[in-house]
This record gives sequence, structure tokens and C-alpha cells, in this order.
Amino acid sequence: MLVKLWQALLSGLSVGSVYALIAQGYYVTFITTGALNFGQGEFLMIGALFGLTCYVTLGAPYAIAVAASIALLSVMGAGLERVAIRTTLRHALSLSWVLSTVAVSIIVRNAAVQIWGPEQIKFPSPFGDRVLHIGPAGIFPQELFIIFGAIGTVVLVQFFLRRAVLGKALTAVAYNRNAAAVMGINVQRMVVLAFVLSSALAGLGGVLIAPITFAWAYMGTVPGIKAFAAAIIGGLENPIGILIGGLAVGVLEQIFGIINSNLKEGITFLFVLLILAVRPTGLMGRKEIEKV
Amino acid sequence: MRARGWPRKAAWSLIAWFGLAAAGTALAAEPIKIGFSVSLTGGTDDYGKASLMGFKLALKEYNAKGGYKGQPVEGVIYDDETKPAKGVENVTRLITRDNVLAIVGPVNSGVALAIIDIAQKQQVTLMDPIATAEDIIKRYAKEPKSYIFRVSLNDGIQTSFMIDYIQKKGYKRIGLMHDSTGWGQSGRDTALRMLKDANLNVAAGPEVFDQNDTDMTQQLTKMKDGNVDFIISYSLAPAGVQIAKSMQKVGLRVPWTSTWALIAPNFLKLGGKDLIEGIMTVTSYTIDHSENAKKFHAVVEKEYAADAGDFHPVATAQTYDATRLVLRALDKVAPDPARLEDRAYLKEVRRQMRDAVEGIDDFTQPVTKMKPRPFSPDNHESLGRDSGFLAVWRNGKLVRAE
Repeated sequence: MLVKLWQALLSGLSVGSVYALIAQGYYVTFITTGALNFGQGEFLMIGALFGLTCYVTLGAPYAIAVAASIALLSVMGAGLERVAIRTTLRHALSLSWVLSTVAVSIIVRNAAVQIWGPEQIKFPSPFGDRVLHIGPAGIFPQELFIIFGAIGTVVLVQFFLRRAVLGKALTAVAYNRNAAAVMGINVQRMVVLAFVLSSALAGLGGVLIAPITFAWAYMGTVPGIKAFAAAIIGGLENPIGILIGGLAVGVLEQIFGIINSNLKEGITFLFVLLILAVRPTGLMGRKEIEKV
Repeated sequence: MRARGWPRKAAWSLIAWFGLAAAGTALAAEPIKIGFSVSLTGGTDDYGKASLMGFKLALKEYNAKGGYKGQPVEGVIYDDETKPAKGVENVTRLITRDNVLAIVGPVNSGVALAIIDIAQKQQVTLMDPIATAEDIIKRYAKEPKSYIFRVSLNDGIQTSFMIDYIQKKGYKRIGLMHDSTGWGQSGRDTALRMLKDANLNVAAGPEVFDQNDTDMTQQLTKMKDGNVDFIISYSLAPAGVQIAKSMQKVGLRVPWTSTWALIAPNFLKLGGKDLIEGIMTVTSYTIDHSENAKKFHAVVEKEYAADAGDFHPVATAQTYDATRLVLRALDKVAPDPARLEDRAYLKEVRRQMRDAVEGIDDFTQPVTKMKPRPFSPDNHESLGRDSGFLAVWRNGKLVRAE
């Protein structure tokens, strides 16, 4: 039983850290604009497929492929903000961004089918295919890389938001838009930055997981939804909660898989419902106090 | 003047119009059409595209030899997008608007189960070259006249090859896995029934996984704990690769097989030849199992060099034979093309097509393994237990499992 749990923990952490990475993208845009990109999963897919083109077709080193994917997705993030967010957020209570980001995600997916075809494509891992054994459980080097890469990035992003001037400006906008504007911060630019950062995280997630999941046009949907679930579980406004939520979703799926493989798919969403009923702001979210 | 002239003008133009219409039919009689509806996009498009190669090739050869009474036979090709509803739409259109004499397709079992009802009700022969669900043929097998035929190995026959192999090798503890699709679940039921009939013990499972799962370690740990010595898995190529990878993770080394889903070329591409070494699958056809097959393979390679050659040989070969069976029936029925506009006559010809397919007894040049008389009134499965075998991946090539 212990062996099984250990294997479940390792496998779960590698999937979960990618959920955490994507969910961090939801967080960054949600705190600044109250909107998020429902096409995060599709952006992840573009990151994977574009990385594949750089790494396999063009023969670039993996690091360059990762950088290229992040660069492309940053541009796409800025474009998304211009096309699907800025136009719909003119009214404070507008929810049209839900529809517009979903629309963009469908367009992106169909475009990917046209460019790369509908089938799974192998993305060879730069670290080879030899299984490493940690205790009694096995793990691919790529999976270890995913865990360290994803968690490291989440920490870096937090460091950026709290220490760097640009990051502090972004946090200020999140905290109070009007006050930030009065203090001379260009709010519009910070909103663009939030979407650039969010999309770049998705792109990085894509090149990280593609060697495990294969790269293909439909790869993003499930991670996108599960990361959203992770964000809800952790609390959309709490970065640490989101990190824990992402890892928890990954590990829980595997642990319930031990009991019964039928439970694996549904358990995340059951957990979301449970959290929403008991703690609507998420595990680590602060309770909202409305002063009248 | 103008007022008095118009009746005559009208009369003349009416005569001219009738005359032209008559001349039109006499000059170009509506060509004889065979319908073709498979998945060219969507989940099983791999099989569909390869199937289309076989269909086109069979028609091309037939027409090159003079076609039907000197006229080329036309193939009406539709894509069902691997969606049952789209398949229903296609088949309805083929029958009611395109006036086809028979239909070849589809690829996907889910689509097939949705469209056989229409073909049977409208009395149009449906020749399925790929789909494997047992129920496709079974559903109307008890009717006095079933219009559904198949040139493919059904799931039951495929599983029987596995069981034969297990018994030959003396494996005792069998593990069972399947994906959560309808195909995977019906495969599980078939396997459980046949294992029980063979007095074989299911030592672990049935364990289920999603067809896009990337980690199968939990399911495989249970296989390991159950001390299985052989695993039957109903998995498509991508999941098959993930099973092989996760087996390495949990350190499980036992022989295992899926149905013919793992002959898909994508399995080799995704897994690489080292990873899939020793994994078994079912096949009805290898590119060199007979002289006919060798010749056919060479033709396909040449014809489709631009599409990376013979990329899914089994699907192409089965559709090629299926289409030739339909064309053979057409020659036997020998309808009058000029009269096919007449619906009553068209319906009669379609009924005769069915009887002719069932009665073919001179099909001596198959590229798959079938008898000269592939069908009979109580058997609409042309490929049987003697038409296929368990194959194993060795060094990137499929060879017979010994």
C-alpha cells in the first residue's frame, strides 16, 4: 500500500504542478482585471506544438524551444487582451469576456488542427526515456523536470510580483485600480502585462508536459479545466492556495485511482462542489466582508 | 402582333425543351454510383483515410478495365467526422438523393451502430470494411434478409485469437484493462465472457482508463499486485504507448496485447520501436502474407507515394476487398443504367445487389484472407477465425506471434 501511495504521489505531483502553473495564469489576470482566459488550455497546446516545431522540425535546442514558445505566447497574450478583453471590459459588470475568450480558444484550436493536424505527435524528451527510481516508485526524468520547473516558476512569479518594480505596479493595480492610476501607474499597460504573463505561463506548461502527453491540437482542454478547478479549490485570489490546489488535484486523482480507477476522472469536480459548498472562496481564500 | 405570336413561341420552346431533356438523358445516362462514408476527420480518421485509398483504388482498377458496360462507376464520398449523427445524414443522403446502389463504410463502430438501421430499412447493402463491434452484424442476423455485411475481424474473433494464444502458452493469471469509451466497455464484456468460457482466471481488473490518460501506474500496480502473467487491454495507440511507458515505471514485465488498434502506424511513431518491442496486436493482413497481398502492397505504395505510401495497410486492404465485392455484385446484377431514374426499378436493383453479394462464390483474388464464397445467408462476416492472427512488434515491424 505504501508503495502505491508513493507512486501515486510522484505521478500526481508531476501532473499537479502543471495544473498549478496554468492556474497561476488564471490568478494573475483575475486579480488585475477580474477576468480570466478560458482558453489557457488552448494556449498551453500552442506552446507545446510550437515548441515541437522548434525542437523537432527545426532542430533547435530544448531551451531555445522553451524560450520561443514563451515568446510566442506572450505575443498571443497581448493580442488576446487587445481583441477579447479590452473590448469587453468597458462595462464594469460585463461578463462578455467569458464568451470572447472561449471564442478565441475555439479559433486557436481549429487553427492548430489546420497547421499540425488532428493527431498526437511524439515530442521526444530532452532528458531521455530511462526511468529513474526513487525508492520503489519509477518516474521519468522529464516528470521530475516538470515538478521543479513548474514549482520554481510559480515561486519566481511570486517573487516578481512582490519585489520587482513592474511586479509591484501590477500588484498595486490589483489592489486598487484608481489609486494606482493616481500614483502614476499606467493601468492599461499593467493589464496587458498580466495577460502576457498569464499566457507565457501556459506556453511554458505546454513545452514542459508535451514529452509526457504527446503534442496535439486537443491536448489543452482537460488541463485547462482541471487547472481552473485547482484555482477554485485553492482560492482564485491566493497564489499559495492555487499552488497547493494544483498539486492536490494531481495527487488526489492518483490516490483515488488506487481505490478505483473509475473514480479518477470525477473526483476533482466532486471536490470542487464540496469546497464551493463549505468554503466558497476556496481553501485559502479570504472571506469577503461586504460593508454596507 | 405580339399578342398573337406568344402561344406559338411558347409551344416551340416547350418542344425544344423536351427535346433537349430527352437528348440529355440519352447522351449521358446517370452514371452508376457507389456510396462511401467513413471518418476522414475525427477520432478514427487514420483508418478512414487509409480506407479511402482502398476504395479509390478498387474503383480505379474497375473503371480502367472498362467499367460497367463501358461507363465508369462513380464513387460518392462523404466524411462522417467520426460522429454518428453525421453518418446518419450521409447515408440518408446517399440513399435518397445520390441514388447509390450500395454503400461501403463506415470505419467507426459507434457510427456503424447508428446507420445500419437506415440501410436495413431502406434495403440498401451496407458493406462495412473496418468497424469491429459484434452487434453491427448481429443486430439483423436473424432477419430473413440482412443488408449488412462486413470485411473486418469483429471484436469477438479478435479476442478469440488472444485466448488461443494464452492457452497455447499456458498463461494462467490474466489481467484485463480497457478505455472508458463504448468500444472499450463492449470489449471488456466480450473478454470477460470469453475468458470465463475458456476457464481462465481474471487475476486483476477489469481496470479502466481514459483514452487520453498519460499515467497508467495505478492500474498497472494492481496488475503487478495480482501477479498477472498476461494482460489483455482494449486501448487505442496513444493509450497503448502510455501503458508501455507506465509499465517501465512500475517495473512490470509481462506480455500484453490489444486488439488491432495497435497495428495503427501511429503506435510505432508515438512509441518508437524500442518501447513497443514485444507488444502484441491482432491483424487480418500483413503486406507479405500472400502473393496477392505483396502485389497489392506494391501498387498502393506506388499509387500513394505522395501520401507516405501504404500507411495503414490493413484498413486499405480490407476496403479494397470490400469495394471489389460490391462491384462484383454489380456485374452479376447487371442493371440497365437508363432505367435507374425509375425509383421502383432502383429499389429492385438494390434488393438484387444484396442477394448478389450474399451469393458471390468466385472471389478468388482477395488480398485479405477470405474464402471464394465470403458470405452466405446465415453468415455476413467474410473474415473469420482463420483469417487473422496475433502479431507482435519486433524491431519496428509486425510479425506473427509464435
